Amino acid sequence: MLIDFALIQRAREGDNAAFSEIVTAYRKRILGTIGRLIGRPEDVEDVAQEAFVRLYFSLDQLRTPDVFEPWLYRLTVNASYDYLRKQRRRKESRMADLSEQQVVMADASAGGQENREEMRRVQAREQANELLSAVSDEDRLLLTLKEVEGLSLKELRDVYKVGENALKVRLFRARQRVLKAYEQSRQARLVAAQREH
Amino acid sequence: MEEANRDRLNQELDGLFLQYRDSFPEAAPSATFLPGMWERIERRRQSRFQFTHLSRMFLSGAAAIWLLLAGFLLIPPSRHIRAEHSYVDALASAPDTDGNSFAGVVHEEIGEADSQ
Repeated sequence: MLIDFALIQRAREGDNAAFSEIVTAYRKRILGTIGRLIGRPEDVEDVAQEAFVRLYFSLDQLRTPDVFEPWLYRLTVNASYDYLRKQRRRKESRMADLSEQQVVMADASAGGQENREEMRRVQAREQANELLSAVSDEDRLLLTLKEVEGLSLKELRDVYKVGENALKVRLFRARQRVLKAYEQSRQARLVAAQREH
Repeated sequence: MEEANRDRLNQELDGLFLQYRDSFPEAAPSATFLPGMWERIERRRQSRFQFTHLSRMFLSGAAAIWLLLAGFLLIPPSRHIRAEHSYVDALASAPDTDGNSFAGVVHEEIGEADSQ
C-alpha cells in the first residue's frame, strides 16, 4: 500500500490536504490503469478525476485499510465502465474522425526512426483496441485487468467481489470471444494482404 | 492440427496484449489535475446540497398538507351543516304557531257569535 491508514482516517474526517496526498500517491498508477482500460489517452485524466471524486464521496464507507486498494480499483473500473458505455453511444458520431493511427502515419511519412517506432506502438494499440471493442465493455475491462494489468485472480476477486470459480468462467468466456475476434481480424488482414500482392 | 492452431493464436494474442501494455506512454498527470478534481468535488457537493435542500422543502410541504388535512378531518361533526332531513320533513316537524293562533281567533269569533 502506498499510504498508511492514518492518512485515510484524516481524509475521512474532512482533511482536504490528506485527501490530496492520497490522490498524489495513487494518481500515476490510476492514470496508467485507466489509459489501458479505456484505450484513449486523451480522456484518461477526465476518467481519473471522476474515479477520485467517487473515492472522496465514499471514503466514509471504508471499514478496513486492507481493502482500500481493491476498492480504489473497483471505483476506477466503474468510472472506466461508465466512460466506455458513453463512448459506445457516441461511437457513430465519431466514425468520421481520423484514427490515431492515421494521424501518426501522416506524421511518420515525414519523420525518421523515432516516428516509425511510435507508429509501431500506435498500431499495436489500435489493433488491441479494435479487438477489445469487439467484445462487451464488461469483457474488455475484465480481460484488460487480467491480461494487460496483470492482476491475480485473488486481486480480481477483491475488485469484483465474486467467487473465484465464477471469475474463471467469465475470464475463459471473455478470452474465447476475443480470440474469435482476433482470428477473424487476422484472416481479414491476410485476405487484404493477398489482394495487395 | 486444430489445437496447434488455437495455441498459436493464443500466443499471438498474449503477445498483442504485451505490446498493448507497452504502447502507452508513462502516465504523467497535468498541473491542472488536482485543481480540476477539487472543482468537480465542489460542484458535486453543491448539487448534493441543493438536492438535499429541495428534498427537505418537499418533505416539509407534504407534512404541512398532511397536518391540514388531518385537522380538517378531526373537526367534530356537530359543527358541520348537515341536511339529514328533506325540506318537507323539516316543515312537518317545525312548530306550527301561525296555524294555531289563526284557529284560535276563528274559534273565539265563533264563540262571540254564539253568545250574541
